[in-house]
Amino acid sequence: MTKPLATALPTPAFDIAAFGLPDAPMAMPQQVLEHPHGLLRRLLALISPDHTDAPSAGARM
Amino acid sequence: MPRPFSGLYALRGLAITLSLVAGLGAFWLFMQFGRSDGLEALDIIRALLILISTLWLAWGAVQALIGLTTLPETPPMPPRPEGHSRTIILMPVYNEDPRVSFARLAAMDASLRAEGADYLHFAVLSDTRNDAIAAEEQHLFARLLAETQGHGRFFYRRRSANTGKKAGNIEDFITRSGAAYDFALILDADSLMEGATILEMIRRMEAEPRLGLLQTLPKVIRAGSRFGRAMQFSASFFSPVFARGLAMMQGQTGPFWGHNAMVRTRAFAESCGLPVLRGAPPFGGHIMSHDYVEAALLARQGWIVRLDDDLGGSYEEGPENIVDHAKRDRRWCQGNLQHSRLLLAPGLRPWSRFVFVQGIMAYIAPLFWIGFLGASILAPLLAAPIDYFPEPYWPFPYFPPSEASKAIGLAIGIFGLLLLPKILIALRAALRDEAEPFGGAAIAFASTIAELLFSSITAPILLMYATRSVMQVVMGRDGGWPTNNRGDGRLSLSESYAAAHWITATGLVVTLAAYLFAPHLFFWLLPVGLPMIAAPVVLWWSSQPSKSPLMRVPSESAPPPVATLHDTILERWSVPSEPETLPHVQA
Repeated sequence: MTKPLATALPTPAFDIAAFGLPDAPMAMPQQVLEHPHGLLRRLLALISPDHTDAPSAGARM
Repeated sequence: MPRPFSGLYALRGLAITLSLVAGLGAFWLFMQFGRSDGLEALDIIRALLILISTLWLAWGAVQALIGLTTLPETPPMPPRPEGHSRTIILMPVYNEDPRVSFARLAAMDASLRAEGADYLHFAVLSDTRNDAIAAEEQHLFARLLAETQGHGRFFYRRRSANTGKKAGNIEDFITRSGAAYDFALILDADSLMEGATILEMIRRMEAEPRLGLLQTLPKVIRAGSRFGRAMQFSASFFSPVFARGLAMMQGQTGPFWGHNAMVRTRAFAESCGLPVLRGAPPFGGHIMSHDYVEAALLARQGWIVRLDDDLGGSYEEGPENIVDHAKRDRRWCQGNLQHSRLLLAPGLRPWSRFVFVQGIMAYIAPLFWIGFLGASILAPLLAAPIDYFPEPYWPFPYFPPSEASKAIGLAIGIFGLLLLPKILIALRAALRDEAEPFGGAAIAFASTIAELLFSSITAPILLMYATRSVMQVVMGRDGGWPTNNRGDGRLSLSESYAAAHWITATGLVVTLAAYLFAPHLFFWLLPVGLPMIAAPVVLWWSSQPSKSPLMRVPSESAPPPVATLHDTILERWSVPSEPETLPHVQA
């Protein structure tokens, strides 16, 4: 059998129960699909001198 | 098989360029036409609308033209892999008829065993909310176990809450049992696949360790109504060529259509944990059209996602009437529009973003056509009167040159984009002797013409449903997750009227407005207006059983072996059995 590429996920031992699904958990980390900040804030970060996210007005106060 | 990068980018560039040329050509022709009686703002708006609409039409046509240039090819696989990897076949169900869907699993198991493969596992992942159906599922699962001697190979579990819908259902399986399997074949409740195809998919997954997802091209089978058979013919005769074009341009960023596809479990687990989007549905919340997103996420992690269009033996069933089609489309529309939130998601491949745009365009393109028609009806009302005496003190009137030829040229071009790919597909099938399973070259060509006529009649109605779906989503109405109606699908006239009376009313208003305000457009608009006015009759008529010799497909004359197995099992299961006790069902 060809081994898949190594991933960061562990391969725990499993055993197959008679009628229930095998007890062989596999981690499924949640993916990041949305930037934590909005587009305007990220654009401001691009032009800010240190390229960090521009702090919100609330944070500045 | 992924193409070399230079060739791939050249092909994509060619396709995009040709589409742009067609769109800009339409824009230029319309501007010439509009300029004839003085260019106005509404002319420019109409020209822009026709630019976008033509661009979208041309993209579909170019995909088919590219697909016509080659034939499906089998990827190289030296040395021959064994096909013995730990594989599970997953069937997520949601209030489906368990007798029909479980019999499909039994048929696939029989097909696999005929190939000598009795080691694959099957899992029914139930998200059924209806307790009566759930009880039937458990009863029939006991029968499935007994008939297939599937103890230890067949599993059933029902979630107490269907969080995340189908994507959440699969995720629940992976987090509970994913490590037990190298590969998982994801099905729909109406999927059927030949055992030989499943084994070939396992071998291909083994042969390419970077392959994260392998998608097949499912063919629609068992359609019985006029609408269903037209869709079935289209999926069987035209779609393979469109899919070939797509496969040639996919590179390593192919599609996932949510079913009849095999995933590498670890790739899927590490890449496809879907977050809940900020905000409420329809744009926030759980991701509805999860399959496109999962394909994009696999590609983002460096896994290959591939459509192997040379693989046969992959089937599904489709809606039998326009109402069921529109219901399914409503769900897909909401899911695709939700992708607008993900266009700028970090790290995605450009092609994945382009696929999202395509999915969104598929639903908003009708709005551009409607905008164009509406603006064209209104244009004469808003146009300034023609000045026949532009030169002061000149006694003879000036008649602006007619640019009607430009408008006719534009109309011919647009019809060409719609008709040409299908006509060419029929011609190629005749020239290559591929039309025999479709009834021979003459029948296949006549079926192509019939399908074009049929889709011309149904297109304005589907356009109205698509427009309503988009408007509902934009206004923030969540369509929920309606069950797919599968089966006979025959509509009564009263049901058809209830579903389409608003289309009739809209058609009457549009046609009357054209007659009153733009009489020169009246006859041009009749092919759109008449089907709309007759929408209830079209819905009823198209849902009736079809006995026509046209629209014949190979699966009608020679049913796929796995479908025959399914029929046999279903017939056996139609005789009630003694209630069997289920030893253990996980809640």
